[in-house]
Amino acid sequence: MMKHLSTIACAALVSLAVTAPAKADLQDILDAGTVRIGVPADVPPFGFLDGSNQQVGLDIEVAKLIAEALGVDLELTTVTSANRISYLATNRIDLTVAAMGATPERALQIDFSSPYSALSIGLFGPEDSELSSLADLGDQTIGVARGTTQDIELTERAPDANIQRYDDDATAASAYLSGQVELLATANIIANDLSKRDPDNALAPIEIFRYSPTHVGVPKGNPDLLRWVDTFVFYNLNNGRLSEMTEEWLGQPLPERFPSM
Amino acid sequence: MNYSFRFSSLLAYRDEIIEGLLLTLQLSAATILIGLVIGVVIAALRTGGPGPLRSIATVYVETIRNTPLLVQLFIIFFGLPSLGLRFTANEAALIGLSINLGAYSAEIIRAGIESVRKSQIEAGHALGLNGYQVFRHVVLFQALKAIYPALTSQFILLMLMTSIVSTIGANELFHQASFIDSRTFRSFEVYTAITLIYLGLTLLFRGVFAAIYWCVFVRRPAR
Repeated sequence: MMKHLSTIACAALVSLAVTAPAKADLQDILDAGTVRIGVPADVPPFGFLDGSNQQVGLDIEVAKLIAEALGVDLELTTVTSANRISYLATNRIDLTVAAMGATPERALQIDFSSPYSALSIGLFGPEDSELSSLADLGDQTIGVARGTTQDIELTERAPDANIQRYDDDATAASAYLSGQVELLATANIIANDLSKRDPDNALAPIEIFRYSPTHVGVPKGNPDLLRWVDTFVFYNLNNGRLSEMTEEWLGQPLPERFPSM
Repeated sequence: MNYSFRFSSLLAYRDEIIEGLLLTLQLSAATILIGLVIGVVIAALRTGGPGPLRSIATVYVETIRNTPLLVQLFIIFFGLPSLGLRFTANEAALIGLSINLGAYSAEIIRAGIESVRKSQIEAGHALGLNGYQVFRHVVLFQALKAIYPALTSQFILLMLMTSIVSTIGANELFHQASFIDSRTFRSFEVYTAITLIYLGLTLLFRGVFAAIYWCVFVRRPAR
């Protein structure tokens, strides 16, 4: 009898696995009482391991906020930029909050929510700099990593500026820190990281060139879940919560007019 | 091979290329002059200088010849500002390359000095010349003539090595090439053009060095 029962149970399990589409639309997550969210572990300050090997970062905070708003438990899974889309597409996780930018190619595989945060690139300088934009630059020298988005943007905006180009962001940062250039065009997360390591030479933004938004990833075929995440993002953008969290982890708040999808 | 070459896309950047070419030429010429002077002085000190100076010269030559040029440049450009010594990228490049060339040419010139027969030096002393006069009038000319091919090879090598200073942001030829590449993504065309320019520069330098050899060592008989 026991043997029969276990055979039936096994058969039932197998058929479940084969037939039931492992869709995790909103109601399924609520029924399960757990939301499975993929976060990065190697993309500071979005997701990384702190001194005691705990996962921390902006994306982890956002994931916690999502679980709280859903009223369910949070199960974090570490994803990389290479595997995060396949994790979603195969329904091994319900959502990704992984510093992911939306592209038409990626949108063929998964859905994207409205952006919850954004990296920015721009011109940075000492906190006591009197510059407020590229317009009154004068003959100050700017360091930048050659061929990056910030290099292209900077050259377009200030073609006559005294720009020193280096091989990469690290060398450009060295040039700034050793005083070889007076200003640095880079990403805000790099400027923030430099400021944290050397608070005496903290960098402040002078002009932001452009934002590169990050989105929550949702598996295809979950319209309720996608709609819910959009509402979640809208609500927390509107009350300033996401901007505060972005400022805490990335160094600058979100712009006032933040794009939406 | 479906790549279609578009050298015309480089034309828009000819000002940058000319600017880089000029800086490479200036940097090479100035470095060769300064490096030659350093080399002669250091070689003289290593072969016949007083004890302490001889040691200092040896330490200089061994330190520079046994460390990478890139590290030397980074110390000058990124390190020295911590001590309050700040040079622009071009100044740091000139200083770093001159110090580097000085050490290498010193060893080559030392070989030349040591190839001069002892009997000639003794003859100079017998004529009443002092140490400096012997070096200046008897040794140096023969020494330079003996090692001229090796020394000029080192100079040409130096001219090619100026491409390294692009890492500290000096706008020489290679730096300009990387810049154009980052804008046009025409890597093959850019670096082919730069290769040809470097080749032309090498031939130009060889010609100039041959002409100098003829003027100094051939036309005018050795004293």
